[in-house]
Amino acid sequence: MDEQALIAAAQKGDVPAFNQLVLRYQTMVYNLAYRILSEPDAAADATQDAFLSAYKAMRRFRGGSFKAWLLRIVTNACYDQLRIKQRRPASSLDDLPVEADHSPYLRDPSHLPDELVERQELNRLIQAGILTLPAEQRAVLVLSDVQGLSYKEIAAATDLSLGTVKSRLSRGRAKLRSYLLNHGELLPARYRLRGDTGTERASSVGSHT
Amino acid sequence: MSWLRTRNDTIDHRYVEERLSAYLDGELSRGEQKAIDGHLATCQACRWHLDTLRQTVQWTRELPTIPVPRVFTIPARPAPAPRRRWNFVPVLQGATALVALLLVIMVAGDVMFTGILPASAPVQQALEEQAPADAAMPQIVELEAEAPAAEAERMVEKAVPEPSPSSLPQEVAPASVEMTAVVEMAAEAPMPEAAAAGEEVMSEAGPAPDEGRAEEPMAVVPTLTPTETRVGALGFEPPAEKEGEVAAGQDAAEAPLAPATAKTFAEATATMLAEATALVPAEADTAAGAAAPTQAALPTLQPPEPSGESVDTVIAEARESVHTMADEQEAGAVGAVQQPTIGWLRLAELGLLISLLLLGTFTIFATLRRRRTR
Repeated sequence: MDEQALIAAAQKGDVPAFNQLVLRYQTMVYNLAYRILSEPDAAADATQDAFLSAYKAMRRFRGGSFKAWLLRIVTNACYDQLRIKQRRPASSLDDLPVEADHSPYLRDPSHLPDELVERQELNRLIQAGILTLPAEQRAVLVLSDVQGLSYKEIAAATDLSLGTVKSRLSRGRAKLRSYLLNHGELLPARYRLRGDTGTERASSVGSHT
Repeated sequence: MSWLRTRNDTIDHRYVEERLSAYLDGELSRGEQKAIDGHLATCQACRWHLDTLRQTVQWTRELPTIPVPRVFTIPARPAPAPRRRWNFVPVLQGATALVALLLVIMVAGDVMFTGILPASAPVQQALEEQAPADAAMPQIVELEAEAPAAEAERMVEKAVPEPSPSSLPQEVAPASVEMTAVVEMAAEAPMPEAAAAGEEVMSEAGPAPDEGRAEEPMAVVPTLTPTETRVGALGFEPPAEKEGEVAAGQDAAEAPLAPATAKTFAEATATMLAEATALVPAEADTAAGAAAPTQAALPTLQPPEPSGESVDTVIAEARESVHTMADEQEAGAVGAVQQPTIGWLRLAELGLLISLLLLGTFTIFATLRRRRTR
């Protein structure tokens, strides 16, 4: 069914129509929540809260991008979760849920091509790095680089100015980059970020970001 | 762009580093972008920085999409109308604050303008009345004359009401009626009984103490009308032994029995003027003659003075009686007239207080409930 029709029906209180919207957006919402919170349970809670809030607030949706409107609700739900749980950044990779849980490939990593395993390692590292970011930078980075939102869309979803979005994204990315550099020895040579003359630079440059 | 000509400096690198993220996304202005391009062409370190940053972003973008662990549809309800009660809490809080503010303003205004206790208000009124009374004093002296006070006494005695019951308003009513009758004839001694009337008398008697008699009936009229109103409200009838002139004057004053309005005042003024003019010849009085009854009338509440008294004594007693009558009248009349005003105000404040308490309770409950469900 056409999304506009679904939205209109949902605004009148049509629950099945709203649930159609849920089915369309829940993966996006869950992924956003997961990348921000790094915990499957917390992500599920945030997703459910977000959809319930969205249903209650349907009448206040005045048109425009439903996706952006929904993402804003999700971001706020994630902030709520962060406040409630007072999450600390994971200090070691062991704290993270094994990404293999989500991957359809996985059971026996030894059967997987090295590349894939390496990639999984890398992904876990990136998630760990994201977890080291303060909440505001985290949300902006995930919205931009995981969800693919434009600066304007991010500004709408987070109720921030364009300049703030730019600066937070810049700092978040730089920090993530530093994190990856600092843990470079975990990465296979192919993925390791390096430069000959740049190695010294890296530490001095990375240290003040 | 002189900064670009310098060597690879920390300042340059810093400038570039801060903009690499936006540079990657193409969000720099043309000028800035060109500057970065130029710098990158010569600076390997910054090129490396850009490369690693680009790689980081790329890997992040390639993070896999995680499938949902379950379905997040909301349960269907028979009454699916989204609850909007949570909207009410800020409204409740705002309303409570508003009512509280109104209450404070009302109480403050009440305290400032009418005194903290109702008892003090009449005191203020009495003070106000003293002013016109004092202003009228010179007139008493002026108009005082050697005309036989007996004539005035006679009139006054006829106008003296029968011994009235102890109720204060009734005492004051005939007294004021008689007073106003006398005053009407002499156009003298404004004795305002109502707060509003008092103010009007003040404004009228104050600035024009030396004006002719024409002014005074007007000053009296506001007094008369509320008096008549009050008398009418009390169901009190003028004493039967009123003189013809007095009765005539009262009839004229009774005409505007409706609540005092400017129009009523105007009508009454015209009527009073006619009556006053008629009364004066009836008395065969000059201004002096009219003053005599006033003088003698003023002490009527006290035993009438013998006509042979000296002028000074009469004046002194007139002053005294003016004050006395002022006190009596304000005690009774002001109290009687002011109580309705005070009553309404108190009622309003009480109503506000009650609604404030109710609103406050609701707000507290709603706020607590919202906090709990969050």
